[in-house]
Amino acid sequence: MQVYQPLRGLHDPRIVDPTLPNFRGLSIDVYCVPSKELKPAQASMLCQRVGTLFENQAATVETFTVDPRVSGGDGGLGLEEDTNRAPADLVVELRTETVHKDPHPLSWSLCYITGTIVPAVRESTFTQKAVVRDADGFLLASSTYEGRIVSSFGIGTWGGNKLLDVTVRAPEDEITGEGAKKDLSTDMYEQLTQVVYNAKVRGELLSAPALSSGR
Amino acid sequence: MGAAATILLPWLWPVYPAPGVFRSKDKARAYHCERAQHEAPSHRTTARVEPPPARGEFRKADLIVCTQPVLPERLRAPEDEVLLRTLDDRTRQIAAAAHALRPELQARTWLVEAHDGSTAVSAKLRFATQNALMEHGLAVSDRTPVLGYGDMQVVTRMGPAAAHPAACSRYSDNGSLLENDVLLVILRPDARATTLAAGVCEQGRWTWL
Repeated sequence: MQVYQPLRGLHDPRIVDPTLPNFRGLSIDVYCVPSKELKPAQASMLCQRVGTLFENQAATVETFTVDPRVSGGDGGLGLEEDTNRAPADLVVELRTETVHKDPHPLSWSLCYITGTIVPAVRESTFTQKAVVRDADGFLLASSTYEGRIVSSFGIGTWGGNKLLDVTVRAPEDEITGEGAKKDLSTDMYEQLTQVVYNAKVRGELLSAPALSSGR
Repeated sequence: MGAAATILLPWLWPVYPAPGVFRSKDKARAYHCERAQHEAPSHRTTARVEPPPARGEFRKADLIVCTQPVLPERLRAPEDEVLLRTLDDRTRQIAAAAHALRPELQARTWLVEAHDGSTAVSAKLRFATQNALMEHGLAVSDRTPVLGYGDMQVVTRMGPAAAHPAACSRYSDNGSLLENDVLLVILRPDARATTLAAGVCEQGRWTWL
């Protein structure tokens, strides 16, 4: 069972509706930086999801797991090389980092001893940094989001919460099931839409030439 | 005992203030938290965090500092809330940028204009920026430069990228912005943007910060 808590940035108010064509005529490169916590395959999957998010808002998107300034469009695989490719209007760079992990070892011991009646708890805090630049590499917007995932394992905690989900809690407050993943994705996608929209507006305001040139 | 634990433990987990049995997701989302360094907590937490012992601690301290907004969520419109929640930080950043980028304007008189869809938010932005400028030791005036009717007709038809440089030039030409004055303009460039833009106007020259 997982519980998600937004700590910073993820639950800030957002105004842009991601279901509207907010980025019509704009080309966006999404660069997901692999790291110790985010393996290349996971980075590629993240990129594809974020790419779909912007494509649904009428942008032309290419995804990368290597720096697009040194590599061509590759669908996130980093294989192709296209040196004639024009720079995108906006480059969105995503970096994920786990800033804190607490495995609560005592809880795992107690969980084992009590036959999972006492829940085993694992907690991790992550940050997601989004940086948006124009075609020249000029920084237009950046934001850091921080959230926490608390995972608990055991028949006691799952059974009790399942019972409460069924009897007491409203559907949007249910804890068992896929609620945590869904809430995190919703927050993340809406915030990414907002930060890219802010970058687009800033680029237009500063008359960034990249915003008026198509690919 | 096993049965009691089965009933009670879900009420105790997960870790405060993550959503759980006593807190709905909405209540947990009302908190704004940061994972602080025990050795160097931020200025907001200094008063409440004990410094670590000189010889260190047996285990690493886990410190998350949470604050709850004074006004409940959804009381203000999201477009106002997003600016007002971080009003001080935003205006301090703008004042610091203006001060740092144009240090030669230190001795001038600073005027402030703020443009937002909401008049109340504009007034708060203006007041907070004036305070932030004064914190830098700058002379601030409550005066606002004015445009003639004809100028207004032209400027209000332009987009923000062109309107502010044009207005700046007219302020200087019509004498409402004196030689010793500097005008700092803060605006929300788009109704759906959550960031502010700022520019400085002095002697008819406009510079985006």
